[in-house]
Formats: sequence, structure tokens, C-alpha cells
Amino acid sequence: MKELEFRGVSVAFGTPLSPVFEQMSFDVERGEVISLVGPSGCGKTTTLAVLGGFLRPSSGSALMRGVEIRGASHERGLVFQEHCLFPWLTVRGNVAFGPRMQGAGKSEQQVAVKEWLKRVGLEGQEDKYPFELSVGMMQRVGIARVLAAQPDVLLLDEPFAALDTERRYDLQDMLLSLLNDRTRTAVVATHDLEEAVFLSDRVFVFGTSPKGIREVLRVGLPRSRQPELRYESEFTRLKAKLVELVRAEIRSGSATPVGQTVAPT
Amino acid sequence: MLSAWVWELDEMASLYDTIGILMQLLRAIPVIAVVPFVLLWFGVAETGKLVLIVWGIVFPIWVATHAAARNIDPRLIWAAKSLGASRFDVFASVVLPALVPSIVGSVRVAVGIGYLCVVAAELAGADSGLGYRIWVSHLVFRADRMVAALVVLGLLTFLTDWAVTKVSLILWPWSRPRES
Repeated sequence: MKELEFRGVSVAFGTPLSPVFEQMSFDVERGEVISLVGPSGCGKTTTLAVLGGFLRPSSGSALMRGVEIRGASHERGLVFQEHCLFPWLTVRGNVAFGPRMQGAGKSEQQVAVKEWLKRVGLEGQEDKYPFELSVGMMQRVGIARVLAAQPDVLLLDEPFAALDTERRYDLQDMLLSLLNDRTRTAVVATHDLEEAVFLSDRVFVFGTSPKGIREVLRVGLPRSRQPELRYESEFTRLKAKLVELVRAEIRSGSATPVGQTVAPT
Repeated sequence: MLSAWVWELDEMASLYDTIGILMQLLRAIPVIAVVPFVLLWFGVAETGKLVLIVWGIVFPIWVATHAAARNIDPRLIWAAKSLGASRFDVFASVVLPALVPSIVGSVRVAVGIGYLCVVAAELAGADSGLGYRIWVSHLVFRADRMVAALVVLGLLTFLTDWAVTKVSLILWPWSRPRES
């Protein structure tokens, strides 16, 4: 059984209705990491919204393990471009939020907080409020908060777009280390094509004319990836291929060029 | 990007709007115009003043809270729901705390309006209080006493505002205004 499925999903907004995408179908295996790339407005975020249960498709259905997604659930955790931490809670309160909502006791919450803050390298920051943290630290807390709720699927909407290159690399490495055991599935919407190749097993290239998934790039790199992978020839080849696929989509439609951060080398 | 998520907030917003219509109808009556009626109905003693204060401060706090509720970052609610929060949890653990900065700000505005209501009541027929003293001093041409009462009023308003700010920072340290 597939972890996630899109079966002929169409989504339309506005008056008159304007389709974001039509009759889109794909599936995601358990433990797989998928990236969604493409020009702005091509439907990456909308795809995450449907998977998250925040948007009902106009037609078709989105499924998780064969069951139709009808609303938000802690099984599918969301990480936003901007951390979206609760400003009134400390780091501890933010990370404990998920376990608390799921009925965990105080001691269980503290265990979760301790474990996940350690995993994201933020031990000792428990009592700080979000406004006392750097952007990178806030994003780490955002990821820890989602993971502490023990989701089976991570939905990440341009999670590192607001960070500088150094911090982005740092958090990509951290995210990958959290996904390496293949117990969680992840879908990442990103404009960063290097990030897409580095994190993913498959990259879905979205187009705007017609809308929907136009190409799928299979990244055949081993799952356990080290930062040095970014400098290897196979990685560079895949990245260049992805850049070419996205550019072809931009040329074929009248889309706004993607906010591309990486050029082929 | 946000258009993808909008429908999720609609049902909560419509609840706020339904209550909002009732409040807007009552708010349309200026508080000063209510003074004679309230004093007639509740008397010039403390009860009348209290009713006027409540009438004066409820609406600015409501308007600010209502506007803030309409403008809560929807991503906070989606984040909470995707962490397992129920509807009640979203209201108690996200909506209410998110309103705190607006409520604190509107309480500071309401402090000034509250003093205005008290003075209006005292000017209109009380037999004690700073408003009463200002009015009596005016009748006997004692400008010095009038100025003294005005200074005391200003100090009281300032100190109340200061106290509200301090207490709010103790209770909700994260609501401190910061440079972006």
C-alpha cells in the first residue's frame, strides 16, 4: 500500500474558477523523500495543502495508506518556510505542543522535548522564547516541534528558503540525518534545485502549461548522504539535468522564472 | 501561496463576525450620550460610574480583539491542527494567546476612555470625585484647584497605563514590542 497517493486530483481557485492543476496523479512509497520543483504558481504549495488536509480537491482524491485525507492530522506534520512557532510559548512549550495535544503526560512531554532538541542541536535553549532565537534556530525548533508529534509524513514548504547558504546546508544535513532511517516519508516543496537533488529519492518537476507534474527525476544516490556528496560528479550531473528540466518548463510556459539558487557547473 | 489555505479559517471568522454585528450596533451609541440615562437609572453613586466605565471600555477592547481575531496568522492554526490540536485546543491554545498583544494594547486605550467616563459622570451630577472638584472650582473661579485636579487626573491615567504595561509584561513577556 502506498503511503501517499494523488488520484486524478484537480484544484481550482477564484471566480471564475482557475485551475491550479488538473487530474494530477502520483504516489509516494513509505520512507521516500520527494521534492516538488517548478516555476512559481505551478501548484507546489497547493499539493502540500491537499496532502496536509487543509484543502479539499475540486475533484479526485488524496489518500494516505489507502484512506482518503479529509482533514489535518498529526500523522502529517507541516514545516513552513518561516518557522511559524507559537510566539507565546518557549522552545520547550513549542516542542511539547504536539505531545500535549495528543494527551501525553508531563514527563512524556519532557522526554520528547529533550530528545528532539538534542537531535536538532538545541540543548540548553528550552526556556527561550522564539524572539530570542536566530532564524536558523527557530527553523530547527520548528522541525523539532513537528517531529516531536511523531508524524509519519513530513510536509515541508520551502523550509530553508529564508536562510543563508551556510545555515541552509547545515539544516539540510540535519534533516537528511533525521530521514535516513526511512521511517518517515517526506514531501518537500522547494525552489532550490540543489536542495531537491540532495534531499530526494525522486524530484517532481511541475509545469504551468499544461499544469501539473511534467517530469520525474529519479535520484539514484544512496540514501545515507554526506555533505561532501554535493561536490561529487554524479550529484553535479543530476543537478544540471534538473536545472535543464525546469528551464524547459519555463520556456514551454509563460511562467515566472523559478527563484533558482543554483546554476549548473 | 496563502490562497491555497484560506477556506480553513472561514468558519471561525464567521463566528467572530456574527458576534461582531451585535457589538457594532451597541457601539454606535456614543458613551457621553449615555451618561444622563445611566445616572438616572443607576444613580450618581459608584454603580452608575461603574456602568459607564464598563460601557466605555468594552467596545474599544472588543473592536481591537475582533480585528486581531480576523488577522491571526492562519499558519499558526494549521500548525496547531497538524500537531493534533482539536477545535477547542486551537481556540484555547492558539487563538486566545494570539489575541493577547491586541487585548493589552486596547486595554491601554480603554484606560483613557475609562477615566473619561468617570469624569463625565462626576461632571454630570456627582457629589464627589475629581470631575466634581473641577466643576465646583469652575463655579467659584478657582483655576488653581482646577489645574491641580487636572494634574492629578493626568498622573492617575499615566500610572494606570504604566501598571497595565508592567503587569502585561510580567504575565506575557513575549508580548513585548520589538523592532522587526
